[in-house]
Amino acid sequence: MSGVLARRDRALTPEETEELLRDRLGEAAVVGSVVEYGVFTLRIAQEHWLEAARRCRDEPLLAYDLFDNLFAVDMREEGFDVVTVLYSTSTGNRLVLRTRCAGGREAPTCPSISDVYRGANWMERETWDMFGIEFEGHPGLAPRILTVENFEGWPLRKDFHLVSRGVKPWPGVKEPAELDEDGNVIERVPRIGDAPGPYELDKVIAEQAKLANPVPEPVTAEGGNVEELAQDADLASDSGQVLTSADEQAAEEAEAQASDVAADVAGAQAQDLEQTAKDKAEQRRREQAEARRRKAEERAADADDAGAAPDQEGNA
Amino acid sequence: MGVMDQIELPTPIKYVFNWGRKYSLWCFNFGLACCAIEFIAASAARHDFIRHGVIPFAHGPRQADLLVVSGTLTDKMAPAVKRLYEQMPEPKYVISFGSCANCGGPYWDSYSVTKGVDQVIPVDVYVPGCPPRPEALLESIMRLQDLIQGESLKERMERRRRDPITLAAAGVPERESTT
Amino acid sequence: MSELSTRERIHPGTAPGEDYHLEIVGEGDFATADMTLSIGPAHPATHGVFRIVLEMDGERVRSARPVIGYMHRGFEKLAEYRDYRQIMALVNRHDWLSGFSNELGVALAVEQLMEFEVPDRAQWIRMLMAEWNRVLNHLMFVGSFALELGAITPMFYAFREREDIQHMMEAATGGRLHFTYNQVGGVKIDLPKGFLRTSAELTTITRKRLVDYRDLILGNEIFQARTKGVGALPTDVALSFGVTGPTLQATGLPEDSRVTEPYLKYGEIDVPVPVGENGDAFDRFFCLLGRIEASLDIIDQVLDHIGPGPVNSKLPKMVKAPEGATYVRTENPLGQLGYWLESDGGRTPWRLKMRTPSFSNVQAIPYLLEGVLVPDAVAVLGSVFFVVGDIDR
Repeated sequence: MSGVLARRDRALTPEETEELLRDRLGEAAVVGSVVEYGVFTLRIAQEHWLEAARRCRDEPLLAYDLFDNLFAVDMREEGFDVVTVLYSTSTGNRLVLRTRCAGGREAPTCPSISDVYRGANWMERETWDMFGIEFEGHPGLAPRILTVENFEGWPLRKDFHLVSRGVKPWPGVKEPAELDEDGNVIERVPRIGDAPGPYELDKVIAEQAKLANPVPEPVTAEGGNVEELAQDADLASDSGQVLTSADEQAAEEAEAQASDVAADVAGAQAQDLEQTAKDKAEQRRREQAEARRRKAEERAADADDAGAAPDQEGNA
Repeated sequence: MGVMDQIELPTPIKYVFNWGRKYSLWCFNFGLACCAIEFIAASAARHDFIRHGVIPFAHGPRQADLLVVSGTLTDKMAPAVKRLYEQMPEPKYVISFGSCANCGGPYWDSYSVTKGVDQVIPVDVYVPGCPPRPEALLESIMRLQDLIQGESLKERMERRRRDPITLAAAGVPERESTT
Repeated sequence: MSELSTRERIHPGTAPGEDYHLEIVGEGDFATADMTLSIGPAHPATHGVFRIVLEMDGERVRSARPVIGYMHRGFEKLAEYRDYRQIMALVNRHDWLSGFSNELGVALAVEQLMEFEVPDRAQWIRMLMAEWNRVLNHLMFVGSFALELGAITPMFYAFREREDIQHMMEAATGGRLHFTYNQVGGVKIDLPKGFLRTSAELTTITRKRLVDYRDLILGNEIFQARTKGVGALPTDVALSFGVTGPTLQATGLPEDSRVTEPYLKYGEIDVPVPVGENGDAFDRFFCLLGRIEASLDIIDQVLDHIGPGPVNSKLPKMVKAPEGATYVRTENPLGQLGYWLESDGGRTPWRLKMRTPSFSNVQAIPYLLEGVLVPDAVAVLGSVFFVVGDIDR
C-alpha cells in the first residue's frame, strides 16, 4: 500500500500529460483538454484514437495500466462520442480520453482498442449493442452481448423511446423526465383504465375496469372540478379515525358545489354528474355514520373493560 | 399421476391425500435476482421454511412440485423459464416472488424486462414486495398449502387441459435460439 | 469396422460433406470428439443466471465462452427517465448484495456536480453503512463459494451473521437488501438510538466468528487441495482486463480506491488492504476474508470518530445537476464501481454510465478457464466473485 502511494510524486500533471501526448502523436492528435471536477479529459482526433491508447499504456511516464471503462455518449445531431477511462496504479492518475465517432448518426464508426486493452473487448461489444457503433478491428461484435439476439434498435440512443412509456403513463403524479413549454413539471391525474399495459389482456382488463368505474368528465365552471372536490373530502375523512363535524361540513360543501357546478351545465350529462356526486356524498355520509358508531362502541367497550364509568353501568 | 386426475376422490380420501401433498412440497428455486437472496435467507436457519414441509433442495425441475420464481424475468430469460416449467411433473405449483416477477416492478418500463412471469407460465400465488421479506415467503407457502388442501385434483387438471398455459399475446419466442 | 471412417463412427448418419461443428482429435480407434458443455443459465454452479459454454477435450476445458445478458434490465436507459431522487431507488438493485455502496456512488457524483457540502456526520454514517454492507456482501460469498465446493455448513453460519447485521441495518434504513438510505446531500434520517452500541457489539461477535471461518474453510485440507494453484491470474493480465477488488488484490497488488483515491473520510483513517501472492482461487478467498476483517477495523475507527451533527442538508425543491460531466469511482465490495454522470442541466441525467466490477472481472474467466479440469472450473467460477445483476445491469 505504501508502495503505491510512494510513487505518487512521479505522476505527471495534466498539462505535462497533454504536452507529452502532443509531442508523441503530433499537434493535430489532441483536439482539446479540460479539467472538470478533478477529472482530466483529453479530446483525441478519431484517427489517432488507437495510437493514443497505445501510448497511454506503453509510455513509462504515463503507464495507464488499469483499463477502467469504455462507453459512448449521445451528442444529439453531432453524432456519438466514445469515452474511455484509464487509471494508472503506479502513479495514481486518472485520464479520460474522448473522441467523436466518424459517420454521424447514420453509420458511426470508431477504431477498436481491444488489441491494447483486453478489457475493451466486451466494453466495445456492449457499446455496439447499446448505440450501434461499429468498432473497426474488433474480433467480433455480434451476437448482441446484453439484449436478446433478435432485438431491434439501439436502446441507449436518444431517439429510442421506451414503448411501455408510450402506452402507459408514469404511475406517479409527477412525470420526472418531461416538462411543458414553461419548464413546469407535468402533473397527471391517473384514472382507472386509462393506462393499459403493452399486452392484449391488459387492454381487455382496462376496458372492463373503465366500464366498472365510470368517471365523470371534469366540468369546470369556476376552475374546480367535481371529482377533485370529492377527493379532497375523501382524503379529509380518511386521514383520521376520529371524524369531526368539520369533515362533514367539507363533504356537504363538496356536494353543494358539485350540484352548483352541475346546475350550470344543461343536459343529461349534467344530471348524471349531479347524480354521481350526490351518490358519492350519500355513501360517504353513510360511511361516516358507520365509523362514528364503531368508535362509540369501542369507547363503550373500553369503558366496560376499565370499569371507569360506574354510572353508565348502573344505567345499563 | 395415474387415475388421480381422472376420478373425483371421495371427500375423506381426498382430504388425507391433499394433506399429504401439501406438506411434502419439493421446491425448486429459480433464483433470478435480488429476491433469490431473500429466498436463501428464508431457507437458512433463522426463518427455516423446512418446518412448513417445504424442501428447498430439489435437484432440478424434474424432481420438483413447486417452482418459486424470484426476481426479474427478462425477455432473454423467458424461454428458459418456460422450458423449466414444462419439465416439471404435474401437479405443479408456481409462486411468483417479488414485484419484478409479478409485474416488472421498478423495471416496468424497461425495454428488456418481461412484464411479469405470468406472461409466460401460470402463477398460483403472488408475493408483493421489493424484495419481500422471508416472512412473506412463509405466508405465501401457507396460502399455497391452503389452496392445495381445498382443491380437487381432477378439477385442477381439467382446468389445466382446457386452458393451455401460456398467453399467446406475451410475444415470447417459443424456443431459446442457439448461440 | 475398418470400412467406417472416424467421422462415421463418431457421428453416425452424417454425410461426408455435411457440416458438423465438433472437432475430432486423435487417430484410429483412439479418436475422440470435443464436447460442448453449456452450463446455465439456470445452474447451481453458476450462482445466478449466468451461462458459460465450455469446449471440452475429455475432462479438460479447451476454451470457455461466457454468455451474459440474462439479467439485463436496462438501468442506464431507465436512469435517463428518472430524476436524481428516483435513481437512488433503482441504482441499489443492480448489485443486490451491496445496495448501499451502489447508492453511494451516485450520491457522490450528483453532489460533486452540484458542489454540495455534505455534513461530517453524514459522511461518517455513510462510511459506517458502506462497511457493514461490505461485510454483508462478503459473508454471502464466504457461504456460496464453500457451497459450490460442496461444503454446505458455512452457508448457514454466514446467514446467521447476515441476519444479525441486516436486522441492525434495517433498524436504521428500513430495508434488508435495498436500503435507499443515501440521498443527495447526506443520508435520509439519523441513526436510531443504540445503533452505535449494537455496531460495536456486532464487530466483536463477527470478529470472533471470523476465526471459526478461517479454521473451518481456510484450514480445511479439501478446500486447500481444490483451490491452491487453481485459476492463477497474473497482475498485468488482471489490470488489462480491468479486474479489481479482491480478485486484483489476490494477485499481490494493493489497489483499493479507499486508499489510493480516498473519498468520504477514508483519508483520515487507516484502511488495511489484504494482498495475496499467487492470484489463485485460494488467495482470492483469503483476500475476501481479509477484507471482512479490514471492514470491521474500519467500523471500529469510524465509531471513534463519529460525532453529533446534522445528517443531511436542505435540498432545493428540484434537484438539478448543472451542465458538465464527472467520474466517481468508489470501492464496491466486489471491486471498483465507477459512475460517469453527464448532465445537460436538466432534472434527469443525460448519461449515467455504470462501470461495474463484475462485468470486468467476468471477462477474465475465459482466460482463467483455459486448460483447467471441470471440477476446477467450478472453483474458478466461484472464486471470481461476481453478482449477475452487476454484470448485466
